[in-house]
Amino acid sequence: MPPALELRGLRKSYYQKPVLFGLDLTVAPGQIVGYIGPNGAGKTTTLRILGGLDNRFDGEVRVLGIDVRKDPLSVKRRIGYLPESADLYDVLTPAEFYDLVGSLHGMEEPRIRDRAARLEEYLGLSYRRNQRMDSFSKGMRQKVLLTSILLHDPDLIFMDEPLNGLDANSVIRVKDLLRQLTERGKTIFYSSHIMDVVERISDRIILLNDGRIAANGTFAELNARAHSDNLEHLFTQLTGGRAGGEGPRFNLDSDE
Amino acid sequence: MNRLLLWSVARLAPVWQRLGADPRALRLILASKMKIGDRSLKMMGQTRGKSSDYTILIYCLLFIFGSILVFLYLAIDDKATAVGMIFTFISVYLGFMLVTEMTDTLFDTRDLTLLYSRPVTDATLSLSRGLYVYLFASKFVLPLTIPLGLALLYLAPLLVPVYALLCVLLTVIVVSMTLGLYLTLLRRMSPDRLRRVMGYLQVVLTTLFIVLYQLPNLINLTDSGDGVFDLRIVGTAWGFCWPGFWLGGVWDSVTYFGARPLSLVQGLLGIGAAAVGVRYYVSQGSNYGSQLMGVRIAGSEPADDSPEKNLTPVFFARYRNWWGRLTTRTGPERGSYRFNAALMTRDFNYKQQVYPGLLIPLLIAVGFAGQRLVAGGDPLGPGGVITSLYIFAILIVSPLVSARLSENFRAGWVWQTNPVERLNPILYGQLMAVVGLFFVPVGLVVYVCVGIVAGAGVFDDILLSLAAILLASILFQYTERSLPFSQEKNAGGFQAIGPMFLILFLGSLAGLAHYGLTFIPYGVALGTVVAWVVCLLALRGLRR
Repeated sequence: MPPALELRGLRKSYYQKPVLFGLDLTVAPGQIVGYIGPNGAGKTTTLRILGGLDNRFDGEVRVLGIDVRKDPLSVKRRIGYLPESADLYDVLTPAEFYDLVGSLHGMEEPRIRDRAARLEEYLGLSYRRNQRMDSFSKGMRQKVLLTSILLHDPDLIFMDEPLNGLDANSVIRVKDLLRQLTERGKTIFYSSHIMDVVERISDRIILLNDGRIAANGTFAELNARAHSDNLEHLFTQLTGGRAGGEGPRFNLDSDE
Repeated sequence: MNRLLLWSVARLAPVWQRLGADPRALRLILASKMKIGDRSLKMMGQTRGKSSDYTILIYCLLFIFGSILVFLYLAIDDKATAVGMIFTFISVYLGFMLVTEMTDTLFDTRDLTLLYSRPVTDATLSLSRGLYVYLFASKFVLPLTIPLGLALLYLAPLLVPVYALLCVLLTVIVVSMTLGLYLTLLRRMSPDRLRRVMGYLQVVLTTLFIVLYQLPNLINLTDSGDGVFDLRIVGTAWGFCWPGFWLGGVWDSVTYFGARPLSLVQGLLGIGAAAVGVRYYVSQGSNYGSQLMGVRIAGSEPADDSPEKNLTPVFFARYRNWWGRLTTRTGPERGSYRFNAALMTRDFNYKQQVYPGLLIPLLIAVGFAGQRLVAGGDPLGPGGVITSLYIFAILIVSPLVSARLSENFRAGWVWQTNPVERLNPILYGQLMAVVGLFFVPVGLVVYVCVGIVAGAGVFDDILLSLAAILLASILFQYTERSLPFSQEKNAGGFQAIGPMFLILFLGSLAGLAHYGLTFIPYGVALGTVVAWVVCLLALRGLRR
């Protein structure tokens, strides 16, 4: 079985400004991989390339054994991609949105309806019949998005901040769902800023800093390397940040 | 220009204070909004990233239009009526601009959390929106009115200050009336109903403005030069019908001291309307922030095809599903059809752009048919019939052209992250949505009317023109390379309008060829067969 992901010397620049500096990475199938890093580190850029949305890069990228630059369509058929803070055609009802996404994957309507209903039920998404999404909360929209990317039962799921806007109960549900998906052999590659969630649910953590992989391994491996007790400390150590209470004191009244 | 306008606002600080607003906050909010507006200029249905060249082009076009209005001033003997006519044209144009472009600004809730969480009063908030709209409107009024101002410098220099004052009054009247109406709706309606009503109101007002612009043509006002020279509206009872003529009354009263009594009344009405309009707008602005917050958090109504609702939506939903099943295959074709049909019937911006245009052929066709049924008369000649048949191409071309643009174009990521194997099934589904939603129902009425006006003998002409129009729209889809509702309004410049020009050109050629066939025995019948064969082949090609 080919690796779920294989990156060799992945480089990317925006207007001459390098963003990714030669990433090398292999991810085996059936893992949950947490992709973390400070703002602007290049996480979303990596995810876009992996999802076949951007083919202007240097290096070699294979997703589920497919060269993503040569055949992005084949990649898109087998993956689910959840963008960060995605806009929706919010005059549609969720069912109409699922119809569109499902039909692009060649799914029949009854199957779309059936799978969507089961996913919505699991995620705890409820709304009035024929209710349009323009009145949905951020969390409800996120659940619609999650449902839509799982409809076609993808083998590999990319998610950019999947827990955005979700309440505590929903976060638990999503975490359970991700775990169950990996038990069925699916691979999940997601980015998040919520360190304790990443710490708890990821089989493997990849820390990106300034377009380079700063750490790559299980939480235990990373901990042992950096002598850190939690991911937050590890993150600050490796990205040059300051842990809570270590920085200088901030005083707004200092000009008085 | 922004600086000049902001400077003028700053000079009027005591006025704003008396109206309950904080002049400093007002000026800061306005300056920020104008800066943002200029960097993402939104006018004439276009949102531009780089605004400077485009702005200059728009102002130049308006200046040319303003120059044409000078001829109107010269042509009409009664100068008060001339000025009234000019102000009427400008006010209709301005009203149209405000309804189509500035409604969103007034109800914009995006900056509400930012502003309303600060110590900003309702009066400041509503006045800042109102003034922003006023300044926006002024930018349009200036190039439109400057040409006549320059002409007056030469013809009657003493009247220039009067004219300038009237221009200001005109802008105030149109802005305060439009915004006052909207604010009244905001106050009187529950936020969840407001959204729906606003959408319909925009469509109705846009239609009204388009019809008003067509009115001189419809009543054959411009056919006879004599009719224009002798036209006299200001100072007569007709002068009460539109605010532009009220300002003509002011002109009449100031320039001719022995003015007609009705001119004086109309002049007073004009000045009073401006004052009352501003006062009314301010009075309706109280509690503006919390009302807007209500709009922001209001729930949405269920989709209009809910089976629990009344009969019309149920019938429409059934028809829509039936048409979809009839014309599309499951998969991307059907998915695209459903997606497009839903957006076309719900997206306010789309409705605003497309629906009024659809009403015009309908009104013309029904009007002519009604006239012929009531008054009788000879049927239309072949030239007239063919011209009208090809004008009805608007029923299909206009909905197609607008169906790739969206205010919410960022939601188009869904086309990027999912496997769109081929564009054609998506475009075919879109075409079927347009044909099913607009062309078939509106076309049925229109073609029945054509039959009434021109007689049963035009049946083959209708069939031939139908094939030609469908073929033109299929060609349009062939040239189309963008996915539905995924393009920003400014996308592409000529690239965006090029295919439409092509279709209009081809449509005109087809109409000409059609006319030529009427001179050949059995020409139209043969042409119809050939056109339908080509059309069906082209449609089949699009589905491949």
